[in-house]
Amino acid sequence: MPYGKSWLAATLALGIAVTLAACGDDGAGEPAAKQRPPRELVLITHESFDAKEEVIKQFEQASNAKVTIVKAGDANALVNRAILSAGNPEGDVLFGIDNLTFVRAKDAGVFAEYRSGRRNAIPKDVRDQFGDSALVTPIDFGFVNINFDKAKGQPPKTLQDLLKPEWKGKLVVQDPATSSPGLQFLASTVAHFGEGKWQQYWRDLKANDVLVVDGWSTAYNKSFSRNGGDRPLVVSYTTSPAAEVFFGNLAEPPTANVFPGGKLFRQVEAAGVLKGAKQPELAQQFIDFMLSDDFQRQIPETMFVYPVVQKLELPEWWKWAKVDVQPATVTVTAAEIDRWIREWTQIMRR
Amino acid sequence: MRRVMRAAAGVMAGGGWRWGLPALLLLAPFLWWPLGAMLWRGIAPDGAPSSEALRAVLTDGFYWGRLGFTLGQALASTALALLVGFPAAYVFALIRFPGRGLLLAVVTVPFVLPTLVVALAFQQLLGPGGWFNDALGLAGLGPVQPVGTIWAILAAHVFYNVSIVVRIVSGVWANLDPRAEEAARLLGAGRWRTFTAVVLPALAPALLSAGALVFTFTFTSFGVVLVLGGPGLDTLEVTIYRLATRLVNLPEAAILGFVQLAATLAALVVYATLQRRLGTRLGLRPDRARPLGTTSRPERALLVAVLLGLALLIVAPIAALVHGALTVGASAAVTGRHFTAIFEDTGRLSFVAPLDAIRWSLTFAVGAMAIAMLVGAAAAMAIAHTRGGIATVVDGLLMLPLAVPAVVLGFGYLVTFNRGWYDLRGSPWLVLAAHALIGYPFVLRAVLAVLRSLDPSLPDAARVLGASPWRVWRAVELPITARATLVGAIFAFAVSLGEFGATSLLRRREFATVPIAIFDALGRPGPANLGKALALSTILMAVTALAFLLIERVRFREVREF
Repeated sequence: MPYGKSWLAATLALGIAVTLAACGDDGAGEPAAKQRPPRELVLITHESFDAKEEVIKQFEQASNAKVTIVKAGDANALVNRAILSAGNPEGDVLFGIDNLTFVRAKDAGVFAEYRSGRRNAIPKDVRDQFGDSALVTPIDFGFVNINFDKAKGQPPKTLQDLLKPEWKGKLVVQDPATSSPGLQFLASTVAHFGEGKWQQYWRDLKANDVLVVDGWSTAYNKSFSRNGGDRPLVVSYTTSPAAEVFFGNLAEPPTANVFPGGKLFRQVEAAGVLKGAKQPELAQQFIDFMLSDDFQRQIPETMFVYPVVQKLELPEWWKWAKVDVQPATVTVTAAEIDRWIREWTQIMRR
Repeated sequence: MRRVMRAAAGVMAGGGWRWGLPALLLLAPFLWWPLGAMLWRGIAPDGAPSSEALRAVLTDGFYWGRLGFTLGQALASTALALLVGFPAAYVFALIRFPGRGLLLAVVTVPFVLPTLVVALAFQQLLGPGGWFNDALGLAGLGPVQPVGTIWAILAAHVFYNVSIVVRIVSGVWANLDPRAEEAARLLGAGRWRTFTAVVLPALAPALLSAGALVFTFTFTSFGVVLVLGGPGLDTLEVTIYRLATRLVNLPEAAILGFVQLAATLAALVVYATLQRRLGTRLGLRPDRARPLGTTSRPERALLVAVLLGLALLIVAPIAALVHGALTVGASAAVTGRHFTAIFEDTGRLSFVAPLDAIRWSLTFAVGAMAIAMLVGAAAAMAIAHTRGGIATVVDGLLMLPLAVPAVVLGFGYLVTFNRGWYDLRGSPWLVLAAHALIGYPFVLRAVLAVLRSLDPSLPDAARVLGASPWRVWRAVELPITARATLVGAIFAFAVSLGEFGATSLLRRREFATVPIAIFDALGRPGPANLGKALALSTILMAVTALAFLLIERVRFREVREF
């Protein structure tokens, strides 16, 4: 070899090619399935999706399928991707569309209709969040809510309390333009104060030194006083105190839900068969499977949201996630949401 | 028309176009095509272009304000990085002190860290209960809160980028022919006069190259601004992200994207012009660093000052991070729990085995580095051998990957590589292509800085003596640029290791990288998850530093080392 440099480059390139090619061979060494090779089902979802491996394996065995999971970024990126590839989808089934993003996806023709036989197990008011559309099937729901660091004394009682001097500089929220929980909290304030009035509340919050950050991770890990920040109030989920118990092996949560608003916006997450899917039938089976008791039961400890199927036996620590809230009915169009975000951004710009 | 012909003739005559082929092979499919597809969607959402969005952008004072802020903070960040990096470059280039290689590796480590992790480290240092305020408290001074201000953004930009200045400038400085300085001294020039009249002009190409890289990086800053800024402190890049993230205002986002590209190009043209005016040609010599014992007293004072500065600016935040990984949520003083926890299989789909993640991170990084070395070094030759103003434009265009938002690139791949045999969605090759794209500009800049410092009489002499262009390259240009290629390669390696934006859109569970695993842990509540993220970050830093040290040991046997 005449040149040290090109020899080095060639070796590196070869090494990469071998490693990359090896990934294409995955599964080649496994014994072939008895009758026919398993069909591949591609699930497109957001980065917060999770499930127990053993439960997914059950589905794979029962349907002679191999489930490939594509995490398409955050909830917004997921919907954007689905819209950008509408009609020529990246996969067969999508999970993670919610009642704030559904209208955009529906208008873009992302989904094909499917009514699961298990659909009646879903409460009607949950289905109605999507106008009982057959394009999607609700799988879980959750509430975004203010969490309080219990080490910092007594929490506020109402949304108006947050405007008092004693709560000046104590709350951190997420930017609704970049964060899904940020948008849901904004939706709750719209529901609570009403159109035309929520803007003044946010002006007052800004005057009381509310901190706005880009997303949940920054708010919770950096600004929240429990993790070294200086804000004892954070916009998070009603299930976060329970999650703290679960991850920390604690006897009781170090944080608490504050219900200053009474009514909260309810985020319902749904799944749908993608229009143009290669395996539409398998995609339908997967939606049935997501409504099965086995899948629904493991939702709390993998995704920390509430399963849509009621009266299941759930883990003991989940009692800390039991909340008695009134879901606010918010039915809005995509254009209205965009107007909220624009107005909110105008108000909060420095 | 005649001008175009003349430009084309200049390109062909220089023979430089052949060196541009590798860049063309990488850029045409993996940058221009997907980028063009995204821009077209933005400009012509209904199939035909409309000027409505253009008018909306140009008449909105808010956007002009964003442009001003973006430019201002980028210039300030670049100036600060040069100010801090220049004395450090002197120390690293000319003094052989113990631990030099290790410190250089540590100074470059920030490149791979996710911005949220860096923000957490800064908070640990500068936040309300942080070390800095503890120290102020001991001195009887009130607490300060720089987090969430422009100062935090500038500090983070220097933290991330100072190593670019240190490595590129010290790389050239160490090889400057000392005889020019000796001659100046003999002719009666003082120390200062020698420095400004001889050394500074010789270093100008390197300083400008490093400055151009830092400027491009900070002008398009995203993560730092998103996490440390706030709704009032948005760069253009963050504004584009806000507009594009819900796809509501793609036209305005696309036009702002054009504005950002145009501004970056304009800055690079200014840079290239300055470089041609200010650079002087000097001979290059083998490494001239001297052992610590032979240095003068002012030099040793400078060494101490530089070491202290780097300790405060870079080593302290890194130490805060490692400290966090060992103490978050611990009942005892120190815990190794988070380092063992990352290896425990949770039985969930989200579990990524750390060793697999490290293996994939390294695979992508080594592959991206190899491609970046080839493409970057060849592209530098193409520019150096092209005559006339066209070289400046091509140079600017080749820096484009640094000015394209990673998310746009990621989406671009998904809307282009989506049919038939080129349906590459879900393929690790796309990740590799994206990483190589953002890596080669570092090699290009580092190599071009040396080629521009090179006395043209050297290759000319070889040519007059009858050597073929290939032979000239082997005998003259390759040995002289080998070290610069390696400097650039280190950054290409590092940006790949730390890349998140494009990777997060192209990943599969089967080839998740370490940054993906870090972000996943940061997305769940509780100290156990925060600890996992910090432990993974610590491991990523250690692997990176180790890799840097290994790469720097590479010697090209048959090429005489400079």
